[in-house]
Amino acid sequence: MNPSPFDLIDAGVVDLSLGLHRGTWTAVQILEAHLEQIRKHDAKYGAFLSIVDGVHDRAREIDRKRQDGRPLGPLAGVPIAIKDNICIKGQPTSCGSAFLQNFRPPYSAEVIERLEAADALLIGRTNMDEFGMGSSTENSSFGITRNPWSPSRTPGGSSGGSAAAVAARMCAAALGSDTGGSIRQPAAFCGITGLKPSYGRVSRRGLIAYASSLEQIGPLTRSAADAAAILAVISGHDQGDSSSSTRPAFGLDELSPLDLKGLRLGLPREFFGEGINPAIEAQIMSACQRLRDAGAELVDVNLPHTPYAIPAYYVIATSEASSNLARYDGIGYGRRAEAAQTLDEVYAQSRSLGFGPEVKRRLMLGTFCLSSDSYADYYDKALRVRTLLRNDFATAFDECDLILGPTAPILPFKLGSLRNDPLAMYLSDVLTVSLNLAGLPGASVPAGFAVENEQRLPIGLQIIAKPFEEALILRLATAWEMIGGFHRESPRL
Amino acid sequence: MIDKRYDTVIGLEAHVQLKTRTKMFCGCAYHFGAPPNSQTCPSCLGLPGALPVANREAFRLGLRVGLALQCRIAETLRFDRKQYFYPDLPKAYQITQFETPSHFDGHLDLSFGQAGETVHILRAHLEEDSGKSLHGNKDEGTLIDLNRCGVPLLEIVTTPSIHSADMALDYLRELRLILRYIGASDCDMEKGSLRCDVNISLKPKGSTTLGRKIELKNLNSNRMIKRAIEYEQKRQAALYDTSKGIGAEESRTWDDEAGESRSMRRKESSADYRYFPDPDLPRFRIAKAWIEETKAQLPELPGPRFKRYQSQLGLSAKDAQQLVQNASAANYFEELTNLISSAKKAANWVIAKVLPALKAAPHLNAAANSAEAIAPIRPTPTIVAELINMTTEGLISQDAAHTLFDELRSSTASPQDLAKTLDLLQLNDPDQLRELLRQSIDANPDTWEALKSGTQPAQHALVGWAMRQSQGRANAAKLSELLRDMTI
Repeated sequence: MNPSPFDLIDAGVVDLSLGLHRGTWTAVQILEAHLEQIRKHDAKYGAFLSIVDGVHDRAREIDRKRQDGRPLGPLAGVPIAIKDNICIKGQPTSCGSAFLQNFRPPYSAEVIERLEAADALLIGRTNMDEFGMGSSTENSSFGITRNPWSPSRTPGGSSGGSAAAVAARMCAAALGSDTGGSIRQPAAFCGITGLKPSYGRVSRRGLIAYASSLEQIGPLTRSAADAAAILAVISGHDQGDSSSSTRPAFGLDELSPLDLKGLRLGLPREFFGEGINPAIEAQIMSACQRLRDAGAELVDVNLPHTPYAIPAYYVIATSEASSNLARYDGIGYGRRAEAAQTLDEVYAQSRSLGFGPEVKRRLMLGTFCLSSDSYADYYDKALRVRTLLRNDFATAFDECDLILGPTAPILPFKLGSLRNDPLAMYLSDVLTVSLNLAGLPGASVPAGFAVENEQRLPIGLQIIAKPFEEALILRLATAWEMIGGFHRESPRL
Repeated sequence: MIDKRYDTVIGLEAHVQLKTRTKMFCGCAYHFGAPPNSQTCPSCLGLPGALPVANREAFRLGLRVGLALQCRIAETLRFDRKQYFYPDLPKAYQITQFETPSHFDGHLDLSFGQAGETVHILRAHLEEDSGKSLHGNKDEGTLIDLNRCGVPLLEIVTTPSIHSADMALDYLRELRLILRYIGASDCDMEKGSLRCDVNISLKPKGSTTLGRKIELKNLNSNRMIKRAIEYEQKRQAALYDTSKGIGAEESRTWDDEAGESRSMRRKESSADYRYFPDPDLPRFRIAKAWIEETKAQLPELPGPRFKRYQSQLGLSAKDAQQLVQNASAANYFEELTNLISSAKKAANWVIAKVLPALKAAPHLNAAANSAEAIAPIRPTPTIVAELINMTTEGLISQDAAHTLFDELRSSTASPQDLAKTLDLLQLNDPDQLRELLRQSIDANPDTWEALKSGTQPAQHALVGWAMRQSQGRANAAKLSELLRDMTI
């Protein structure tokens, strides 16, 4: 009997691979169901930039493997979408930028190699803000992406395509990257689970750099268990990334059920109150109370340097970006400005033509911060703020096991509404950037909805742990799923 | 004469390619002269998403140089990005050490040439090389070869402690010798594994204020360095003589054909490289034990060795210098000295036979030009020691020994067997020698008469005739002895 396509697109990572192992369905069936969903709906939502060449062959290969009785990897047949800034050998990898429109990397990112070795199906490339710069996926050179819960609103960013694709059941999971909140905020906006691993947990090799010292690749899924299944495959030391940790990879055996009794959940004063949408605050407080009712203890904690996180983040991120993106010069990449006469003109004109306004804004900011006259006042000072933030968290974790709060201070906003107010857009990262500065792991999990104009808009609960304690985050997330159940909700497309 | 009125102040920046198997931050090998863009990977091409991984061997070789130059060693190594746009720099930044050089504050006491002078080392830091721009004619445009991208370099910067072109060359020669001794670099200027920029300024004789400096680039040989410095001394002196002197610091390129330096760019609008710590690389802590271990493994350096050969082994400065200039030949010499207990004899042999053999076989010379190896020359010191003993015992002549050395370059026979085969054993039998002398006297009665009447040179003539008669095989010393007996 053929499985219904509805079962297939609604099943998560764990169920899909289980069903494939058992012979309930085939990889080709899984693939077809998801491609059909993409064909039906993606013209409206714009989550995907392209479908991976040869994905059908890959699905058939996995099915053949199973028929031959050869061992299958842990993600066998699971359709996973990949953010457009993670290199896949021979496939377009454009970072949402016209500059890299024709770039096909001659090598695959480490995470891609690991996913392929686990027999995952890389289904397509998802849209993103150009070079990861943005919180709405409106800064892509290839069009906007819409929120599956409310098509007039943003899915968040910069991994907006990945989040929308997972929420809209166009794939079982997606990889995103998180430099200042780019996995967690779109996960919150799209009502799914997004995990930013600890810095060094997942190899960055093959992730096209925006801000090297801040970013991590992580999963976007529809459950904590699914996020864990992906993390178990992509984490672990990579000799080719000097910033990758030598700790053992995250293992699924770390995921025993969590007894909430005695678990101390820290609520940072700075994450609530002014600047936070009251509907969000109410929903997060309600979630916290339900966790307390289930046995957890709520503790007030302080992260006093939080107000400095945004400026420090934008100094460090843009400084690193100004360096990382200097290679896009119109000679090796992008279109060379035709009017240019001298070498300097080639650089200046090609870059002026090639980059979008948000990228240019950040490159200029970063170039300024690193200039010899400004270095001490900006970059160096930002590094010191970074240390203070790290200390804030270390102190807070003396009093609690995990920290909870909202993921974003605002609800998914209307497309175009913040386009001319970059500062407001920057400030919407206020609750996520500190983790990147401190290198901590954090997840956003579905925590309910606010209703605006008769539309249900998802709200994300952010769970933050000490470095390399992703297991504790995912165990709490699983416990919360049983209490809240919001992860089972799906948007009507 | 400029020397009377001005002091010259020179500082050198030497870029040395370290002799590692792979590049500084990736696994690519680098061989000079390989087809363009054939030795590259995503990392050294700076492809999007590619990351650097530091090469431990480059750290070790850098540390050896730092220790050999008496530098202080930084406890943590940190890498910075130096940012500028250029087509042969694909990442648009070079990974270098700006803030904290791994080695600093050292010195080199010159042992050769202007011996006794000291050149101070400001810093020696690790960095990656750029690619090469090959500027063709107008139609060809500029071609880019990225093979050299990421090759490990050590930039060795002196303080302005050099006073003349000759001292600059003495420093460079000794630096090169040291780097080869410790196996850090081939220092081949023709292949670009040693490149040198010169900073030069003049100041009124005796003044303590430094003048404005000029940076000279594109100096590809010792000869060019000397010419460029001497040209620049004259040019700058003329400027000081006729006007206010140097207007602004600038970089000048040396045009060897025209024999003049030409302005490249003024330094007043100097580029802002926007250095900052490379976020892709961690800080590396250098273990004290590793420094100590590396120090203990350093070979004896050319300076101390040169002194020891004179003071302990009694060699002349000239011989000692010849030997020390080639580390593997010097090692050969020491081995031979141990075997025959005569440094002088060993030195003569190595200078007369081993050094020319090495020069004739550049591949051997290059492969073993470090203090860790004995010149891989056949015959080995053990065989040469046998040859020397055979001459001492009178079994063969000095000439025959040299002939045997040449034969043994390609033969594995024992020296004794080979001497027999080639009929090189000396004629020592007194009866046969006397017979030869009698034949000589018979053939040269007048000379014999002259000798008897006391004309000494006549003895050489008679012995010489006998030697020729024996085709060089007779023991000449014994012939002379016997002839003396016959005249008495």
